[in-house]
Amino acid sequence: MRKAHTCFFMFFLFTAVLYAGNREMKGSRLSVTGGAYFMQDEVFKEVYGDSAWAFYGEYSYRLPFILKQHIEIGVEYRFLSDKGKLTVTKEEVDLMISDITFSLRYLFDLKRFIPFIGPGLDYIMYKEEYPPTFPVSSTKGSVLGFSFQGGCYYDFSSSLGAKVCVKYSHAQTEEGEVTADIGGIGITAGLVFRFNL
Amino acid sequence: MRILKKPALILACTFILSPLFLSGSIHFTNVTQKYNVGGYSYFGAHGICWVDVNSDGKLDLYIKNEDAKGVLNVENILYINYGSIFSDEAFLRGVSDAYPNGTHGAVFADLDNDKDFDLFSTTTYEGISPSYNHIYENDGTGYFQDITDSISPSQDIDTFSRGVAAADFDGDGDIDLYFSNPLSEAKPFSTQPSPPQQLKNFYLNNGDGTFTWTYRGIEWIGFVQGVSAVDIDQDGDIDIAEAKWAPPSTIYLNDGKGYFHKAGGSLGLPLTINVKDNGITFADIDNDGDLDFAVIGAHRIDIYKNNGGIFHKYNSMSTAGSNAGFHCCFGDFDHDGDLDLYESGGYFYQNDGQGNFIYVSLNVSALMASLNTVDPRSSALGDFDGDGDLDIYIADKRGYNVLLRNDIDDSNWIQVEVLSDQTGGTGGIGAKLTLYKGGHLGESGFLKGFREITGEYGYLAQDMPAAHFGVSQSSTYDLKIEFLNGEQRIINSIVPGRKIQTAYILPPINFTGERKVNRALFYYENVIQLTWSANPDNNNITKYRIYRVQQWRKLEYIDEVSTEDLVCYIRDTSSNTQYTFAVTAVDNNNIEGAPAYVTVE
Repeated sequence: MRKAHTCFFMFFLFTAVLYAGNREMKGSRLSVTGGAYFMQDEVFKEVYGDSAWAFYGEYSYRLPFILKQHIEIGVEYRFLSDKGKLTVTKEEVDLMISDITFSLRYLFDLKRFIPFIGPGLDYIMYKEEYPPTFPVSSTKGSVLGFSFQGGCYYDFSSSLGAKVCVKYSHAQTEEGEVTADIGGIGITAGLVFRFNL
Repeated sequence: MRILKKPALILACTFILSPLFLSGSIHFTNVTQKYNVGGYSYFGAHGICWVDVNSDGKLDLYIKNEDAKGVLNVENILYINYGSIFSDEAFLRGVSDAYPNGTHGAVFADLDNDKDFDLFSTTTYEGISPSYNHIYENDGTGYFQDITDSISPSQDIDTFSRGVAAADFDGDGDIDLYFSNPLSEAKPFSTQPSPPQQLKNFYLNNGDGTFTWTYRGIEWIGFVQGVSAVDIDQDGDIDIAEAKWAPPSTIYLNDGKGYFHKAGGSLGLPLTINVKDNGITFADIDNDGDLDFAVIGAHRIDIYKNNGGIFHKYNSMSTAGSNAGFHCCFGDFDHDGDLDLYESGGYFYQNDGQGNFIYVSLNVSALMASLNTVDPRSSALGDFDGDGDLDIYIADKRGYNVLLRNDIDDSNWIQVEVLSDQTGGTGGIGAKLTLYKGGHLGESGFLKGFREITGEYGYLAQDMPAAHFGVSQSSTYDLKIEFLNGEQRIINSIVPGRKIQTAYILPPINFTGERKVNRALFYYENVIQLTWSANPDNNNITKYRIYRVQQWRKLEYIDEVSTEDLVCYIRDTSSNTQYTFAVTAVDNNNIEGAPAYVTVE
């Protein structure tokens, strides 16, 4: 996992240097980011540790006619996969969470820096797989949640930028007698490609 | 006249001086009616086994009945001990064994090493066929299944079995079976010796649930009554002694591999005596660490002392009244540290500490109930009420059986139960237990008792499968347990008034069970975490087995774990159910030890 992060960081630097200096406003952004997701559920922390790595891909579009082009809408896909251990028997369990977030952001244009803030609606799908000794083989489900995010774009050029984002999401789900709070805070960074559709 | 005066004088002195010799007091109460254990109204009892068939910690009673008063198909009796009463459940539990002419020899032993007592029961042929021997497997709860067809080749002749024996005769780690009179001759009661016949009289245990019917050197040379199986020559294997009618009673020595040769003459037994012996019983009557014996029949009890491996007769006593004498047993009834003698249905004798037996008057012993038996046969010793002393059950062929409760009511005793032996099975047949005064282990001058656990002995008797010692309250004791394969275990500083449980492979220690919730993010299960520690006195342990303990301590296998784990999780348990678990250690020969138990509320 560490190797992947290193590669990702190197790719980010290389691309940033390559495209630096050529800045032009374009309406669409495609961002590829990664980062840590800190789920607030105590059982999650016990089973999987304090955080898990998550990867994101987002398409966003700055609306041209509203609030002087300060509004952006986006649709983001997140994928999280982690291995953990059952709290007592320490057998391995696998967790996969993927969600789609529809977000609305207000952008502050400060030259190359473009901070943003805004709410989102999350559709979260999850699957947890258990060892054969467990009473059930897996749990699958989905739940709706909401989120609030804040962050900043940094434009290296008209086509390439960077993105840093902090996103708080809230989602609770019930599986049988278990209530799991799968919301939390995600801290991500990555590249943004800008283009016009 | 002078000759007559001398015995009279000795007898008088004996009565006068006896209180000086005897420190303990003896008192029995006839509790037959109270516990409802008199047997059938048509009688017919011959043999007795005290054994806990349902693993509830209380001794049950198995009565071996012959046909009686013209009634055929007389069932054996299995009195289950419910504490305040016994209930005959032989038929219900599958061991009534009702064959035309009934049963004489039968013995309980753990034949499949699963830590319960199975049954080998013989059938007596008196002209009605079939009269085959039977083997019954205990399911752990005291219910039995007939597994006679596990004998190969299949029985094809009727037999006239009397005494039987159970022990690991060939040293291969399982209990083999021996039965007497393997011949299809109805009533082979000739008083003349027969030409030797090499008849198959062993069921050798193959260790896989089957038995091989074979001959191992014990020829049939005349009618046999009782059989005893102990390590007579102290060479680490189980020998066999037989009480015979026409030829003299004798001893067959084991070569260590389960082959026997007759050795009575070379061991000091008479070669020419021609009387009807009915029972032969071995015990260390002089506390010198070897086995002496008594042979009974023909209206007398002859007592032989073991002197360096050679027996010599040093005492002979008449049996009571008109009794020919079938069985005598040794036990420390008065807790004074030596073995007393009880003649089944007859007199009671106290040991003076040197192996001399002194008649106990009926006023003291309250044994009138014993003398009132009509045709007493066997009697067996067991602590049925759990108060630490030896009680006596007497089989009466022509009258009601009798249960005598020992009322000594003190704490001057130690009982030792062998939960599992070198075979992995329970009972400890062949285990030798030597008790010393505390701090003097191995010093012959401080030897306080020697016992060897056996199956059926004397005349068709099987005592409780535990060693009983009478001891002084003012000391602690050290115990050496020597198993049949020579391995020893030592227990130090035993305080009197306790029942000690020991094993060839000791139970793991610090066995605990704790309820926990085994969580994943979206699901959880209630588990019980069992943990234990290795017993430092065990050697060569390779794994542990975990069981769930069902009703009547029936063990239901759950899992095996390595010696590195020492933890087991019982999955998906109910949070409001009480569970009991057992864990056993298993060594590199796959011998499984005694279990440790834990109950999780």
